[in-house]
Amino acid sequence: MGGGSGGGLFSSDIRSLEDKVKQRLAEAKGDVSRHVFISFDHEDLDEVNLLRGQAKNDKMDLQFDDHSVKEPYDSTNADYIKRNICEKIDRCSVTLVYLTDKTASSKWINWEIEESLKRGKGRVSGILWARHNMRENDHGYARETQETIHRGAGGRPRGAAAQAA
Amino acid sequence: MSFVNLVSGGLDSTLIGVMAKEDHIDHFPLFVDYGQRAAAKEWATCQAVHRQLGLPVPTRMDLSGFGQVIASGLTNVSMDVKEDAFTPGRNLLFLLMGSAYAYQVGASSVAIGLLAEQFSLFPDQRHPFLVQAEQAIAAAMGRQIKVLTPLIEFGKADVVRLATEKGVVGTYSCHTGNSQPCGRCIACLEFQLNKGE
Repeated sequence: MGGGSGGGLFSSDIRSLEDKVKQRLAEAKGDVSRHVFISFDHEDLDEVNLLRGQAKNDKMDLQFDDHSVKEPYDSTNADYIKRNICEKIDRCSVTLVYLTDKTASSKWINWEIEESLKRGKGRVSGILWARHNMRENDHGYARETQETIHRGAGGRPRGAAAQAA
Repeated sequence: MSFVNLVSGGLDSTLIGVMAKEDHIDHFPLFVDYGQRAAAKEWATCQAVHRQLGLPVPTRMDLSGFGQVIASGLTNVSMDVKEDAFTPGRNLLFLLMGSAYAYQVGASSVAIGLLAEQFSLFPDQRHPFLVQAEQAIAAAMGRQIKVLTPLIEFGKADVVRLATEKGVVGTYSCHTGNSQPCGRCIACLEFQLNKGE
């Protein structure tokens, strides 16, 4: 697909031809930057900032697109906020849910997870700080994300963003 | 990371898919039906070769209205398949659709099977076009989507050699869409030039 008019260029051996293709394809492979949408309760903002710092310490090539909504889910402003959130989710390849004891009661987070899945994002991951006691059976979406929940050691998140793909 | 592979059921795009698979690079094959005469044959072949070679299932995007309005030797049977082959905007359309799909699936790049510039016939097969297309896409989407041209240093003879080595068979590369290649169109002539190598 694309076109050309034929002919041959090289007297190269097959291995050399192969290497040329692989070098160019490696540009896709070598791009490790990730756009991550973090869904979290606004009360957890300070901890999410620590997570961002942690990722930077690990020298990961990440671009976080954080969002935290203070507005009530059923407010008159909600439609406008949802449109803005959708734009942010669309720009990212993965949604990371910051799980704490406040998550279960957040209608916004639940909506953001549903929206991420609807928009064809390959994966929705969750990160759980060890010092929080999530009651996973108390809400509807925990089971869906259970397999991708990563427990940090010593109260620190570990490798959360590495789950992005 | 991953890329969108613009596929047509032809040798070039299929080879790119095979090489990506060999290198364990995730990719999303995208077939664009832009109303080309060969669309049905290309799509059937595309699905078959992807299945045979164990490549990801291709996605088809129906933009057939483009070819119904934009008449060329590739889209209109009443025009000459070789002399009227230039289809304005075709490769830009491919890159834009591939990039939109990359945006959606979270891929970083889009790959197009262009060959070396000395074999190019049209402006949308050359380096300046590729650079500017990449810039336009970034401006339109607010995010960089790389344009990959894995075969840009190749002539058709090189593609055939490598594809043969990799066991790529059953592809289709004639612009008429007929069961038997016409031997006249640009795609068929590529292979005839190869025989003279």
